[in-house]
Amino acid sequence: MNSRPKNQFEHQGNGDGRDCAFTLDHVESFALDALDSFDRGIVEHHLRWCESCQKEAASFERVVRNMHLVTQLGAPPPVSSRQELMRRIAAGGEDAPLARPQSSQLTRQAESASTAGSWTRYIPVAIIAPLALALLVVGVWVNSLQDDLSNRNLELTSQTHLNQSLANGGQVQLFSVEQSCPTCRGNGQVGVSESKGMGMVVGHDFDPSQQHDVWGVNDKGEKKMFCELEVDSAGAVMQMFTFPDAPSAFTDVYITDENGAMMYVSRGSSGTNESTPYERETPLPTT
Amino acid sequence: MTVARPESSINMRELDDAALAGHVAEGSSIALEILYDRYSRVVLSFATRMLGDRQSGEELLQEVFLRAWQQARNYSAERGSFVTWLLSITHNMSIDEIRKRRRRPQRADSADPVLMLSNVTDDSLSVEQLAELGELRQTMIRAIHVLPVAQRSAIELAYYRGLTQREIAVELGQPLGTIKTRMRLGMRKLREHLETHEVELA
Repeated sequence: MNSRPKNQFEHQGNGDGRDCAFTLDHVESFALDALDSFDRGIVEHHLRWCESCQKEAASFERVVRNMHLVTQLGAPPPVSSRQELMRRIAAGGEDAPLARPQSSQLTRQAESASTAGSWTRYIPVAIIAPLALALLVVGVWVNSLQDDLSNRNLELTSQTHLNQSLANGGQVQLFSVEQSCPTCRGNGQVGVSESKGMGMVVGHDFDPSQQHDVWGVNDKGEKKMFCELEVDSAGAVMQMFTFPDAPSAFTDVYITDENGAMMYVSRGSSGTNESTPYERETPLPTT
Repeated sequence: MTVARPESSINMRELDDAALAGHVAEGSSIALEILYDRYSRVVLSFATRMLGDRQSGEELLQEVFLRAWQQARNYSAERGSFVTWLLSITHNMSIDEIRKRRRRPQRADSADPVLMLSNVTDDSLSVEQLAELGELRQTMIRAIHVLPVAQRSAIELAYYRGLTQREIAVELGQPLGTIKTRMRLGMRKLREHLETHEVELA
């Protein structure tokens, strides 16, 4: 059904379609562009990789397109309107026809190649997760020395303790923060301990002027908030949180800001494109 | 900017929409004029319906055809008819305008588009008009009017006013879950109705 690796947190939802629950509950409103930015973002992200939901969305978008045709014809426009239009075009004051965007076949091939067999890259992740998490904590700590050494020492002690706790038994998994939109800011990793029901965000380059929240969508299509992130003035985050339910119940996890920008928490390395954006047959309004 | 001017538009008038759109993409203003002659009335009617008054509709009409002029290369006949594409542009630009209006004080004389549309019934259309609408439009009209009023209102508020489910819930004073359900059921009925009538969707 999809080309994406298994759902996050080892959720096995692809077979019975439970991971599609949220999108299928909202796809009609998505076609009508009646979702708020957060819900729309979730659906758009899901549609990037789920072919069956893409078909469902397209079927409702066709309905919406046909609603355009339900128009009671009125009087024709005045002749002056046509003249004005042609005058504006002939005067050259309006832009000429735009060139069609070039097909990004090479890009798609490259993406396809990187996606093929992509599951193999997760094997080392499971093995080196505790070590990588520790390195990240240390790395962030080193970068932050200039801010406040004494405070950072305390944080390091705290986070190292957390790391040791999470790494106990090799249960820690690492996920990367993936920027899902042009206005999204923030990179980093999220470590998750399935057995302890805990997670930790270690990130940088977040917008310190924005409030950030961590959310998840469970296998019933319900959204649940995990925590509000405390971003320091330099845009760095080191914060642990507790999952409201078992981590395995969550099929998707996001970090959002006040403007609706949404960072997707994904397995794999940061910035990797595992799929292509879902393209509406009729683009949305610009505002 | 160079605007291609073929020697005569007589032959061009025999071309179908997709071919004309291709000429527009290459900079032919004559092809655009022909498409304007074919569809300006439909676009104006739809824009007027969306925005609630004819003056705004006429203003938008110009902008829609200018957008079509600039973006003709984005049109693909494989995805649907030219008029559907043109009306999609009209819808999107109308929603843009409606959302801008919502952010600034309302004009005292602006009509409520939803109220206006809710009053549109099959009875208001003459036989000639119905024939003019074509089979697809008639099917769509029947499908919409078969919907229960509550479901139809939720869909219309989203479609014609650009409101989100949450905004519709506030507007109608109903729980968000109720609006979601109405919208979902209404859209599914529309799709089912269209499929039942074996309409070739554009």
